[in-house]
Amino acid sequence: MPIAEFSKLAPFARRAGIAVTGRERLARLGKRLVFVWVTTDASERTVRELQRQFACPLVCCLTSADVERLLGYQGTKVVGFVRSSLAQSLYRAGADFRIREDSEP
Amino acid sequence: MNAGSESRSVAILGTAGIGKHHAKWWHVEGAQVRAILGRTPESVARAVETLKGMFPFQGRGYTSLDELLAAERPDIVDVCTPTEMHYVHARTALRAGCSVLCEKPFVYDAELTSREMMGQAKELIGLARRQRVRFGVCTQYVVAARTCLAICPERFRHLESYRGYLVSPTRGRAPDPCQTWVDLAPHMLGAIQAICPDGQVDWPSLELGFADHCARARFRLLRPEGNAVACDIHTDHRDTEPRNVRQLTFNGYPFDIGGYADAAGLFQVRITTPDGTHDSEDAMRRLIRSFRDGKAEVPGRMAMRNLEWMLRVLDIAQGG
Repeated sequence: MPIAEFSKLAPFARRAGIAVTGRERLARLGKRLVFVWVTTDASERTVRELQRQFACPLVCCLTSADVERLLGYQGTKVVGFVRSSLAQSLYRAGADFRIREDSEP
Repeated sequence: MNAGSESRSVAILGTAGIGKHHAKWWHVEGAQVRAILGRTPESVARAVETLKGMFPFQGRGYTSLDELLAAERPDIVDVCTPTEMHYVHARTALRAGCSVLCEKPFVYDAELTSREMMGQAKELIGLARRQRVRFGVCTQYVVAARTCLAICPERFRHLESYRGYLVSPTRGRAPDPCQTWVDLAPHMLGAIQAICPDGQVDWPSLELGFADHCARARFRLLRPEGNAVACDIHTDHRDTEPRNVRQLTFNGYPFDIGGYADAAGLFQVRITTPDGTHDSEDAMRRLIRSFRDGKAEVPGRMAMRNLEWMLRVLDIAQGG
């Protein structure tokens, strides 16, 4: 099940130093991101802004509580993953939840 | 004092740092830690007390290697002195007919050129061969990488990518990415060399990121079958959490290497993967046991390659 695989891999991303939070930091690293994970409890406006801001894919799944459980970040709804093989593995696991550019968030 | 499974008596050169842990593992593995070498009588006395607090150490302390070798005639000399002393200490021990296990990096002295250091390394290996004794370098992540391979061999099929990520606390060091590279890269280079012993670095593909404490090298590793492995060696010192990260990632599948002290107080390795945890004996302990039993996990040729890659990246980082 892809979401289970995503959940299994995610905890390693923080220790690997490839999980990035904070709008400014994400914006700075924009071109180096493999994808951005946005949680299902983020607002539609947030998702629209992210779609405008980032050229990389957006993956929408799980909740901010899951971000805290898996990565240890509290109250975080947006996480970017820096280019690496682990980020690619995470993206493959979460690709089913990719937000299509032509779809309404 | 020839190499062989009967080798049992060991002298540890330098026990202020990692050497004391080597000493304990030699003791745990049944070797007789007969002597230690320190810089001054005071440092030797301190080291003896430290070792006595770790295991029933009954050896003698010396400040002269020549005196130590003449008096104790150890089978094995374990070189854990500062890196710029490795060459002289290993050469002296080899000339005395001892097998030598040398802490990483194999040889390194910032005052010397890479060519000179490679010459020293070659000389030591030739000397060991002529003396018919064992020589090995202690880069225990070679053993750890082989453990990862044994845990999930399917993850290593058609290997396309490798990331070795090693972070340790700064311990008051000034930011010096070249020193970070010298300290930590031999481990992460050794891990991929263990998995791809036939790989050759595609040097034109090398990309470096050396800044503050961080030293990072990305390159393609070319294999005889024609495929390539995208390698990312990332080493760092920092004082923010997580301050200790030992992570090997193959084909995007991470192996977090941690550890714990067992009921007997012995350090055990715990490798965490997305599919579970795997406990095993400490990689350094296994490397020392192999050496005791007649096998160098990182023998001369492999150690030379490790040093060559480490130095070449360093030369490029320094604009050489």
